[in-house]
Amino acid sequence: MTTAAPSAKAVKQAIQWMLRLRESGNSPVLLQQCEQWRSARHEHELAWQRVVHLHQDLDLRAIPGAGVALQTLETSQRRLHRRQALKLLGCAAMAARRHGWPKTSIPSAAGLRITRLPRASGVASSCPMAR
Amino acid sequence: MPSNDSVQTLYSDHHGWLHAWLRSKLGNAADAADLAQDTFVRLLQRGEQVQLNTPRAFLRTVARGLVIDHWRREELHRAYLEALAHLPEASAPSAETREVLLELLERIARMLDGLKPKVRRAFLLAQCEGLKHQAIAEQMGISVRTVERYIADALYHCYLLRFEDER
Repeated sequence: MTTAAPSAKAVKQAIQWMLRLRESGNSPVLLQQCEQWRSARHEHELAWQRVVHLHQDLDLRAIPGAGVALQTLETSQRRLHRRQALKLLGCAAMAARRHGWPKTSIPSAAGLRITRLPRASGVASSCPMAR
Repeated sequence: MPSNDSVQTLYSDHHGWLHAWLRSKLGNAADAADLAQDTFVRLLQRGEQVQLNTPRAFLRTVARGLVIDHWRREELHRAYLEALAHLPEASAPSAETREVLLELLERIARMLDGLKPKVRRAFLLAQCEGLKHQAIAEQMGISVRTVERYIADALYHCYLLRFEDER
């Protein structure tokens, strides 16, 4: 027999329990209540196990040298978005030229308030708007 | 599973075109060659049907995802090295630790893709820095209730991605 996946409701409850326990520093009272919730239904226990695994996978505090993780993730995400945005601008500009649209209808990088360009040569060399 | 034959046909008919398209995106022939190969490998590994009626649009969709993964990896490496440069030399992690951490960061970054910036930030402040909800609320200038909702939403988003194949 295959085990059915827990419902969205059970998963969301499991997430709530996990966050409450984490915030309380595993308060014994909450731990006991959480155990009661888990044992009430098989689905609860399954949702709990999955959420705990997921949380462990995403726990950066457990990794040595992770002190720079937040900065690395935030900076790289910002740059990735900028890169994707510029790439789209480049494609829009090329399409516009191909279709002979007037130049004034092409959005400029300044118009979209992109103030700094990525240093990656790949973008600059193939994206006309980035020059 | 797509048949090897249909991928073979796609490869011989469109590999040259895909390579040129990727080169225009990446501005680099070597990376374009790698990602063109990866695109076809991805097709062989995927469970879905190859759409042969619009082959180039289909290839472009697969390849575009790989381009974004490639950029994400590049940006993570760059941001990580910059962050390390600000650390005192004695606390610099070993090459092995760097590899492990970068792999983990890449997995997390890919999972968090699509989250609103504030949701993402609240979640990362908890996961990376171990901050309590109250501290996150103060730092971000939002209520504790909102922080709780953001973090729960982020976890649920990750849950769906992590377990989507097992539902």
